[in-house]
Amino acid sequence: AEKTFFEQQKSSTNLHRLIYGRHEDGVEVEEGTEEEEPDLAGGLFKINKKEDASRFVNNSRDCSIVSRECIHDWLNDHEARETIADCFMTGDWNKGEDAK
Amino acid sequence: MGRLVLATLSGKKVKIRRIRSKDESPGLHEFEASLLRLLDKITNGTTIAISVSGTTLVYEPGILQGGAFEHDCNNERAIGYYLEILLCLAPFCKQPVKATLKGVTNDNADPSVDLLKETSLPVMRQFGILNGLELKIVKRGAAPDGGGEIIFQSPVCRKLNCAQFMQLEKIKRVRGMAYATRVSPQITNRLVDSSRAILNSFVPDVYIYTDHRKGVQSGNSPGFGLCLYAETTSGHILSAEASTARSMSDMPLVPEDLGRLAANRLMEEIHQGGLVSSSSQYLAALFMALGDQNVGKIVMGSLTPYTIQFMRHLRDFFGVMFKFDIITPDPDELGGRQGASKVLLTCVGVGFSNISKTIR
Repeated sequence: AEKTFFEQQKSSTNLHRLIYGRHEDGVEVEEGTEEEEPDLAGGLFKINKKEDASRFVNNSRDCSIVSRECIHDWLNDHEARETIADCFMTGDWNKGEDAK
Repeated sequence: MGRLVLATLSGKKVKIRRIRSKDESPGLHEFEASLLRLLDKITNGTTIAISVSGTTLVYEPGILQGGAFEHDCNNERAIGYYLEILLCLAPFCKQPVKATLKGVTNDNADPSVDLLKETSLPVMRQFGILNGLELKIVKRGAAPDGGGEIIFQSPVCRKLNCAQFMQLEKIKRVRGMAYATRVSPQITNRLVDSSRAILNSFVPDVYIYTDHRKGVQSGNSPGFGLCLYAETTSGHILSAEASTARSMSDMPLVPEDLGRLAANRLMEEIHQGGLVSSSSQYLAALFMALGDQNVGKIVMGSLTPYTIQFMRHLRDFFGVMFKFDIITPDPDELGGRQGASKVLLTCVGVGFSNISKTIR
């Protein structure tokens, strides 16, 4: 339990550092949070630098939705279906809870 | 954009330099200028200075006035882009906001008006912005030519509630809206059928409304799309959508494919999980930071780059830092198959109170 606690501690500080840190770019987090240049001076548009690299200009939009790549085929991929089975009412419930 | 919102709320002057200075089309774009005009309308005494080249902007916010106004949004971006700003600012105005926005209601890049209506408004309600919060779609207008019209009404609030949502919840039902303008009404049914194939395999309670517009209510361009939202046991919303694109080449155009795409995106969103939809994470973070001087806690799915950037701005303008705890559901436990790791955000609000609201 101690070990997992420290692991958890570590990963959350990593996330903290990833978001608020200035130069710790090397830190990787297993979350979907992508590495971003913490440099705020890039202009109104946070993805300025990435856009320069890719040749698609005028795509540097600040947009709140991310078009997530659909990695899974949720209809037929049974392994993927298993991973979210308990997100629904029909899934298993924790011991303490009950369907009311 | 996030910076302009926070500058307006905090009353700080902001100077943005080097806007696309190395880009092929440098400077502010038309839609950003339109956004600045909108900010000018909702406030009183704002000064905006843009350099000749358009690459430097000095923005000095005035007080948030609110009231009734009308705005023609640039068709380059959907109304969602402008509406997001209003959602952030409207509760803190002096007078209740009644805004009429005209432009593109649905496109595939920005959150559609339907999505904001079903996702962001519930988030606002959770923070205590309740009475008279309304969003009405008078006319729909698909990209690229728009012609849609919406009315957004928001009350003013003095203080925000403190939100503590820490328990992951189950999804009890899925609702949706299939819309179509200037195309066959059959298309909405095809959207519904194809998405239900996926959705019904997870939840039995699925209902998708159809909204087919014609005549003056349908704007200037043909288009269709599907917006889906999953509701948890205590009313938190996760949502996703798919819609026809601006240029008809880079997206599936068969309604069946689009329906499946929307459903798959919703499942992806559920896999990421949390209690706040990824498109309104930033809004929840803002209200948490501005809320009561109390500890607020919310579980979210993986943070989007936009949210991360927004939180950085929150630190810069309000000095609010969040604490992150990663929650990893254990798939071997009973009831633990709940997708990817979640983040528990904790922060103490600054106790922002609406100073411009008149007290009667």
